[in-house]
Amino acid sequence: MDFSKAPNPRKLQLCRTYFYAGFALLPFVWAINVCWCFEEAFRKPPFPEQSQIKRFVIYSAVGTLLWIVALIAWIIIFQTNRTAWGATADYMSFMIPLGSA
Amino acid sequence: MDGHVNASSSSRSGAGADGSGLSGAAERLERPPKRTQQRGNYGSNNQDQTDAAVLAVPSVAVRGSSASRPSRLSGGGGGGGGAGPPPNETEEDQGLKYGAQHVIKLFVPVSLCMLLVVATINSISFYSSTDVYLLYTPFHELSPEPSVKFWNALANSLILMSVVVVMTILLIVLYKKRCYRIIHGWLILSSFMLLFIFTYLYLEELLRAYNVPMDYPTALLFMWNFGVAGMMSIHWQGPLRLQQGYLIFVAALMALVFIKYLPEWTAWAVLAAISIWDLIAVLTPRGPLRILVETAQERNEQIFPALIYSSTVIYTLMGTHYTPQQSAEPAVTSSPSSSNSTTTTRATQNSLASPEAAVASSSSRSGNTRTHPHQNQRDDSNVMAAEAEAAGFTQEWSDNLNDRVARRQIEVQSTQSGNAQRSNEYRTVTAPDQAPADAQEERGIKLGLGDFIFYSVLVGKASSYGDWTTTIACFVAILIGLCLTLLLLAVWRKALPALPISITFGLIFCFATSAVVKPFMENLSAKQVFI
Amino acid sequence: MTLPEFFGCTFIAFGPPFALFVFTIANDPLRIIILIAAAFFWLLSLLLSSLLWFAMIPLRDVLAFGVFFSVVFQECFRYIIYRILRSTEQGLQAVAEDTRVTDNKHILSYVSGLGFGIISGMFALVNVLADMSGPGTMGLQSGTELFFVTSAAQALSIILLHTFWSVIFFNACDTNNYLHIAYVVGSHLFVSLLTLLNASELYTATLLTNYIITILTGLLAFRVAGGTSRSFKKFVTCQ
Repeated sequence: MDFSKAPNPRKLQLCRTYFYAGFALLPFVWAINVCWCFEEAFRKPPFPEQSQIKRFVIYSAVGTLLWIVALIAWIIIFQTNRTAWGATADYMSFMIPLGSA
Repeated sequence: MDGHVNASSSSRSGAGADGSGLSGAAERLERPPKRTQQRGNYGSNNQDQTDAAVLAVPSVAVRGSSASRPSRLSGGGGGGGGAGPPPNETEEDQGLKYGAQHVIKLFVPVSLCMLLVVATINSISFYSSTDVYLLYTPFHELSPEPSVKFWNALANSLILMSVVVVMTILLIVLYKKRCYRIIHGWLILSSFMLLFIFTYLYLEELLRAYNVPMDYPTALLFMWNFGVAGMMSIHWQGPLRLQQGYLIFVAALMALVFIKYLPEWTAWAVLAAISIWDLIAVLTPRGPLRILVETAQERNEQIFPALIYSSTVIYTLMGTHYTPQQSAEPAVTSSPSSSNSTTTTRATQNSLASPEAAVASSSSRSGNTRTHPHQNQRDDSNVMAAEAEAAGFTQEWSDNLNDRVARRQIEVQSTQSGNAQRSNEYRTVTAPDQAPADAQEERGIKLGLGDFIFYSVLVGKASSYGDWTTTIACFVAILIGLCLTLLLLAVWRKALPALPISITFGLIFCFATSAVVKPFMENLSAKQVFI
Repeated sequence: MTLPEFFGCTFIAFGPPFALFVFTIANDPLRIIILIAAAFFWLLSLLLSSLLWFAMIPLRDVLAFGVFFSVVFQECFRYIIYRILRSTEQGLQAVAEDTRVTDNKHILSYVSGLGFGIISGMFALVNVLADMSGPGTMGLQSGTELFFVTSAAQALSIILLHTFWSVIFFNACDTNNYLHIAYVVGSHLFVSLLTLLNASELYTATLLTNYIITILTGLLAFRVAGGTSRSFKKFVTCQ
């Protein structure tokens, strides 16, 4: 859908829905929200709902960043310690790389 | 299946509550006659009026504004008459011009889909070997005898096609009875399967092919995010690019499933059978797809937008938004009354401000019919679901086929786009007119996802033999076939199947290239001879 | 080394055509369609010549035969494209967004020529490129390690030559300049037959001659398209 053509209350509603949906372990939805509403939140001439949209966008961006950092940290910790953790780590592995010659 | 191409000047046709028209495209084509008709009976066809208004728009600046209904009608006729010849011509030209743009807008996603499939086939060996089979293909072509293989393929494709036919008919019955909930649920289910289960398999094979380590929490988080975002953007609302991306991905996934699970000869036979079925379903008077299109037209709805890739916004924001206005309108619209609320038109026009925006035809549609938005969404979901089901191999699978058929319909409303632009220009003036809104509504080209799927199956299958020249030849042939289909669309102005020409070209070039051209080119390139 | 070689050869052969595509074609939908249509016609010509080559079983090993007829078919299809484009010119005029397409006839010939060239270069090179990406490479046991690089360079010259040829050919057909038509057919035949020498690894001879012909043809195409040394100077100095 064409976001920029939607009426302002609708934009706010969508932005809010996307933001709340992101709490269901959905950082990707937050990231979408940021990209989607960024224009409206920061580039457009002010309109009544803008401040709220801006807030949701910023929160979504913060949430996305937190998730990215946490995920990268977890992956690094897990992959560096996988052998050390033994069988537990193997059970947690979706894909164990094969050795290559 | 039915790949239709509708060149609908949806706006006009759509605008008409009468909705007797076939696809918008057909209507569009009919315009010239319409104008005359309009003059003849103004009151009867609002839509016509709108069309006329649209046509007239260029000259309109004053007129549109001045045009009250009656004036409009007359204006429509008059516009057609006075500005008539130039506008008509320009319209046609613009139609073609935008047609060229829209052709490219279709080329890009079709190419992306094929590229995704070809890249996957070449990097993940999992998808190029068949060891498990679909329920629908009981004959596994294990015999070395070509004749036995041939009969196996024929029987398999017959079974598959009958499933497809049955599912298509079921879909149409459901649609006719307005069981939108069932269709919608079905589509959601199938898209759910595609987006979760088959994406999961894909992820696994992808990671295995590239030997990338991953742990379950990360993988599950990724799947959950990917799937939910996909469901949201496909069935609910999301950025257009994201939705298009998901549709392309789903189509590619479905094509990979076909390539993986269909025995080799059966895959080719199915491709041929599907394009023939497409031809029948769309062009025969009682063809299911044709019925579908006509019914949708009657109801002023979009045909299973879910099954359709749209180069522009398919569904309207307005669904929720404009409902009030729409509701107001619908009452009006119920009668052929042209009186879509001016407000809606305006909204649409605004969206139209840029031609592309105008393309967000759905919004404009919403103006015309409020049902559209919802239906569109449903349609989208349908498409997805259908595909998903297809992935499932179950009944859903067959259902998907139906969906795909629906998806295949291409609607080219480029002409409308032209109109839309005009309307934009004159927006301020014409806003009151319904016509602009209508015109804007259905712009953009829509290609059924089914077409995406089967094009990709053809190219992917060709590339699975490891010869790049065959792949390129198929690719070029399919694109040219698509061009020709769109050209025919512009000439005939009725719903056309998108598969037959492309698939025929593709099959001819695939076999000719791998049998004749490939040895020749191999000889040449081994000796470094350039021609 | 296989991967760098793959990318290097890809960029040698398709870098310039890709740049041409991006800067001159990609913005205009009509040009893209004409490009693809030209590619399709080249495919048809290749199909015909392959069929002929395939049908002449005793002559299959005599590549010169196949090459000769392939060149003839390609030039025939170039003429067919010319006829089609010229006969649809009015329609194109109506359709074209960018009026330059129809105002300047050389654009059409350039676009169709580039389509011809790109598809011919692709067909000549894609499978070689696919082999190039590994795991094996040329020149270790037998053959020459120059194989891939020379193939890529040849492909580039063929792509450019096709573009120039189309420009010259279309203009010659417009002006009934039979000399230029003969030059196009003759140089195409010459270049293609010359590459037969590649089999005996006479790369200096073939590549050098090929590129000399490419440059000469390019100059001729430049002249035909209305360029002069003065306009070239102006272009270079950005006036």
